[in-house]
Amino acid sequence: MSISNKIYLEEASELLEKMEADIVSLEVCMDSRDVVQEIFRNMHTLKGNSSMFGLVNIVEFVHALETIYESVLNDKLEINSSILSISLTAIDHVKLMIEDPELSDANLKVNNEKLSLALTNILKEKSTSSEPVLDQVKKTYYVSFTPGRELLHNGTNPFFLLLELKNLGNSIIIPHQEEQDDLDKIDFTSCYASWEIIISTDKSINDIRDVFVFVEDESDIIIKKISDYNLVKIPKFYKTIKSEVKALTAQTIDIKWLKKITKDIIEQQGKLSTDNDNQKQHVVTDKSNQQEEATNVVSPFSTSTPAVHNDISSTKKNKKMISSVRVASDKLDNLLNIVSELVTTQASLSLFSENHYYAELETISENVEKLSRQLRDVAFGMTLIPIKGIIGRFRRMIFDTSKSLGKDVKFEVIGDDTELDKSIIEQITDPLMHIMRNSLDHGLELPEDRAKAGKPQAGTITFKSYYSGANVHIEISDDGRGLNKEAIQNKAIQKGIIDENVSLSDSEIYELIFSPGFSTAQKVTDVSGRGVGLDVVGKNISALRGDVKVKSVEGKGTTITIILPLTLSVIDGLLVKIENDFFVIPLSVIEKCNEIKYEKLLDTFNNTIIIDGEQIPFINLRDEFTRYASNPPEYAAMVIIKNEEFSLAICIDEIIGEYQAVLKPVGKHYQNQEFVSGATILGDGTIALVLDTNKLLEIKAKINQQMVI
Amino acid sequence: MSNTETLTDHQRSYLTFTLNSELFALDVRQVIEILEVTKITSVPKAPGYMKGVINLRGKVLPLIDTRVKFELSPIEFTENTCIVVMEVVIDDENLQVGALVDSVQEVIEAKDSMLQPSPSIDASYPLEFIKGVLNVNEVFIMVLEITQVFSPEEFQAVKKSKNEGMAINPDTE
Repeated sequence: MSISNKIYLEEASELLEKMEADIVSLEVCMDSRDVVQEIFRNMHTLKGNSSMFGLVNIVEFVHALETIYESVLNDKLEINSSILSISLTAIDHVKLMIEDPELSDANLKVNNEKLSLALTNILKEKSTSSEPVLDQVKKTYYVSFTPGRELLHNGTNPFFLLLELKNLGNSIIIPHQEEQDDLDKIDFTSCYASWEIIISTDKSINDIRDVFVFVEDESDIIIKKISDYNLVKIPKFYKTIKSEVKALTAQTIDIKWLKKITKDIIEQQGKLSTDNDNQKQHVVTDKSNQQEEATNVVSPFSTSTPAVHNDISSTKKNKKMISSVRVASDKLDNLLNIVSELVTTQASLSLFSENHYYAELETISENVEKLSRQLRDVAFGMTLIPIKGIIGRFRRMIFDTSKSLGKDVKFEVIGDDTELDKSIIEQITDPLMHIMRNSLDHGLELPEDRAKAGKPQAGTITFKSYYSGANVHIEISDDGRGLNKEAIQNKAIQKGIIDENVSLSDSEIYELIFSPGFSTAQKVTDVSGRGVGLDVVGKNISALRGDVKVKSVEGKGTTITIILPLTLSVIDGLLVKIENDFFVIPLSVIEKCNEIKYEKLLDTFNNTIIIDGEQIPFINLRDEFTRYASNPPEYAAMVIIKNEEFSLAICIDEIIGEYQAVLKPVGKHYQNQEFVSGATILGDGTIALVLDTNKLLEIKAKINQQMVI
Repeated sequence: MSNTETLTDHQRSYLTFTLNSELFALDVRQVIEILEVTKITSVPKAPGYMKGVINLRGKVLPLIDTRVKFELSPIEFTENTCIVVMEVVIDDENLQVGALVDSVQEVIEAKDSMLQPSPSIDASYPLEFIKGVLNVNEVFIMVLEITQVFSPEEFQAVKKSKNEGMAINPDTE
């Protein structure tokens, strides 16, 4: 795929996503003119882009869609839910078309025809229902398009532009060619052709300019309105142009002459039309003549063509001002890798300057440290994107799903500007989607049941995100029927997920819904309950070093909270040592550190020790990792880690200190490795492994179960 | 060297190395560099042939003890011991991995036609690891199937079954 194609695809899908979000938001407030304007603008850009690449099918289809929104903007049509739902279907269709612009798939082709028809029908309904309006009369413009010599070099095909122009209305296109005597001097990669177009269209002059938006910098483009009347449709005008203007020469139309014949023809036509047309039409003709006069009066100020051209391009340039830059994500990843390496190198510089005391070196090293920290913050900040970007998809999903389920749903979003690492956002979208789908399907009741329970008919799903320390919390709550504790427990026992005799806390029971093979839905609907379910969600979230919490009140609703780290690549950790190997324990899970005589560990009951009057199970990593090469120290260090329910002491040889670790993957070769979630490189180049505390806590959970049995 | 070679008979370069004083070869296109042994950090609870990880200029590189992979005794470090860094492609992803070998020898050139199927009778090594045997001046060099030997275990299982199906072809020819 060529680079420009890639850019097109990227932009197109971004535009479609924006449109989708906007259309869904129209559902809430149908008369928002700004939103319609935005939708229209995006559709227009998409159409323009597509026509640059000659994707005729997409152009035609989007054009039909765009026309609907244009009519809305012109107050000829009102947004209603049928327009919105067909627009969404249409957008889904365009998404498919982008993948297959030639419509080689037969299904796609059939769909294309059906949808195009449906779109035009909407417009037809409109035109029969509303009165024919005056401004629908097509106006006629003169367009002169002289491409720069180099136009062909960047792959622009002027024919696509002409085609797009032609689609705007009725047109006469007159090609011209620069006269060249010496064939040898012709550079066959240059463009010697130019075109004059007389077009009658109901579009504005800006729409015509938009056709040339990508080439206006390198081409001479003159656009002038010559009449308020559809001249091209008048046979006499057409004939005159065809006979008087010589195609394929360098001789262009004299605008004064054009205006003169226009005036003559309109006057004649005006007289003719009085016979069979009504009074109204006559007024139009008169009016157009007056306006014609007006343009004539103004024209002396803008007769010099370059001035007109400059005018157009300067307004265009203002429009193009941008405040953000699109960067390929692999470039960003690359930057982050380099920054990570810089941080590592800086750590070794600091180490060196600590060990060798030179006053100057120390200053330099401190400066480098400061700079690299700033650089790191900036670079990592760039990968943080607001969660807003995925909300549109959720809205869409809720819109669609609630329709198909026959439920009335309000979707509330709080804190959509919370920022998260882009890779986390990518990986969290599907799990969130799944949770919401579940809330919609199983959580919220049908309107009549809600009425019986004394709740408002429309259910509410709330999406809330906020920062909490180094974590981001995402809360998804519904005001539905809530989770049935007993049903979950019975199901879990029935499926053999938990033992009958185990007593669990409320939250432990609720979290069972994330265990593999668990689904309480009585029947499988097409919305959720396909068997693979929340367990995948649970797995995905823990893979991101995240955590899920469930709160529920029966009859009142359920809240699922997902706690995620801000970024995947840097963690604050505690550097510890076992024999000669270094390990990092994430600081976020550490509760406290302690020291204990090593021999105390040897004769304990059930591998628990008492620290500060509390009985805590422990794992001796020397045993766990079979490190017996050297004798254990007299005093072992205990690091106590904790999640919501468990505490666990990890016994290591020595605590080195706090360490900011740049996380690196240990690679696919260690994928099944249970204790290590990554590695980091210390200042002296040694590798320290990062312990997977979730795994360690799971082991503890197993110890716990053994103790109960 | 002429351009008249047929399309199928490419001239290829191979890097040769020793394991247990036998000669093996790797297609050089997949070899990135050769390193001296540096500090190896072992990863607890990993399979025996995974020797650990090393710091390759800021990257964490997994290290395979090729001897253990070939069911030989674990590697003993001498001054000849080397790490061959190579790239394997798995699921369209390039994975870098280091392989510990007893010593690295030289780069040789051989045509595809010189590559003979491995003698299945003398199966002293896991057969799926060997792509074929090169006979260079009466010395037999075993050419390794890099993806087979140096991929993470779960990806090999898939490849293995595919190869069994394909192994019939060379015999019938």
